[in-house]
Amino acid sequence: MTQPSSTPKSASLSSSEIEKFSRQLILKGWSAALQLRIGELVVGVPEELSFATEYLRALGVGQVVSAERSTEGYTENYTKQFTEKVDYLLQCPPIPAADSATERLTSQGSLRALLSVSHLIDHLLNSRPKE
Amino acid sequence: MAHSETVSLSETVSLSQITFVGIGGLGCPALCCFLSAWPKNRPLTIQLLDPDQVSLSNLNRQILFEEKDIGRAKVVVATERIGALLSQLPQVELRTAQVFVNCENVHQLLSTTDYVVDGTDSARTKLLLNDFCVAQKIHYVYGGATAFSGAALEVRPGKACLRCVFGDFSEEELLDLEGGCRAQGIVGVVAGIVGLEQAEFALRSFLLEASPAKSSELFRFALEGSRRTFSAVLPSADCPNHCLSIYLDLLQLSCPETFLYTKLALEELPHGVRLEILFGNEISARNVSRSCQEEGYRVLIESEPLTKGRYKTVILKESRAK
Repeated sequence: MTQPSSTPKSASLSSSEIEKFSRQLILKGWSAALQLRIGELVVGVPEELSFATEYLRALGVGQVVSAERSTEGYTENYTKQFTEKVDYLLQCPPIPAADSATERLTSQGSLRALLSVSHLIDHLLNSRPKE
Repeated sequence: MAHSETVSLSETVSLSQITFVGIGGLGCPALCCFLSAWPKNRPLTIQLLDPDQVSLSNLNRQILFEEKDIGRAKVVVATERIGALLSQLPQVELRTAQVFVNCENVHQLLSTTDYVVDGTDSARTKLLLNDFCVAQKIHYVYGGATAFSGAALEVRPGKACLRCVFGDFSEEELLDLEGGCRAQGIVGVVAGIVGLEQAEFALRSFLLEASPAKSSELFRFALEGSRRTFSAVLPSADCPNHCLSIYLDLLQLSCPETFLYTKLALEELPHGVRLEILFGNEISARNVSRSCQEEGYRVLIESEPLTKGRYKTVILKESRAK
């Protein structure tokens, strides 16, 4: 298990963070409080979704924890240890029906990774405390 | 990013040059995913065009860049970041230019390319790329994303285009659309998903046998529920690129007769029809274009060089004409 990114927690966004995340802070339903919450998240990324790491960092996720699958795959004990360390574990979403008829040329893994980040953001927006 | 997979499908289409216009929220994932899937020993020329330098507000979605890159040209940083991928693709040649594509340079920059991946954030530039590619019969894939949703449209030569889907735009509407994500915000991964589908569309055209009957295809994505849809798009009779064309041969004439015959032809035409005129020299084409603009007609192509010293001008008689 590796921990490739980590940012310090703070009570408010710095001016640099406000500028960096300005394109998402102006979105309807997004707020500084939500951005701070994202900054405190520890998100686990299974190896097959590793393309998501770049987008989680860009989103401002506090810590991204990558799980490296051994030759035996994910053992039950490993998965338990892994999930205990993270607030949110990216799930490998099913490929939607729209793609089932044709073989994809770009990586299935890249698509799954990006959709898993989309699911996370959807989850965060729908579970945020009322302000 | 590792070059982890290689496509081994029938390679029958002879496209050999692709241009990514705009290396931002759409262009970064499109470029990475395209290169990751490109066959190792297949020749290709890639052209990257972007006028901008990396800024801090890019970093919530433009995954090729980091804070240490702020102030550097995007095309330079992008070239460095895809270096590992390119080193595994010995047949791929890369060209870059820090340039803003506009109506003055579009012909020079794109006339030799086979495929344009549109990662720009300007509605005006998108329409310019669409119209140029339609006129030149170049494959073009539009991408657009604002807030929580986005779309990609692959425009195949001779098939439906951006104007067929989104309609025609007035100057006021174009002004409103400028700087979409700056004004409305953007979720980075939405741009990522649209860019990925642009790469998918491009790879299909390069690596799979194209069906001549295939229509243009529209992809839409919405973050809520991660909804993804694909639909076929047919040409619209209201689209200035696909409406009825009338042809006028003025090869043997020069000014002022060229304008006189053009004006008479335009007066006879019904609204919503475009006039394609052939000239024997560039000066006549440019003069007629300018005069028609002054008369209130819309010039779609001012002066396109053809073979044997001929030039083509295309004018639309729309309802706004005086």
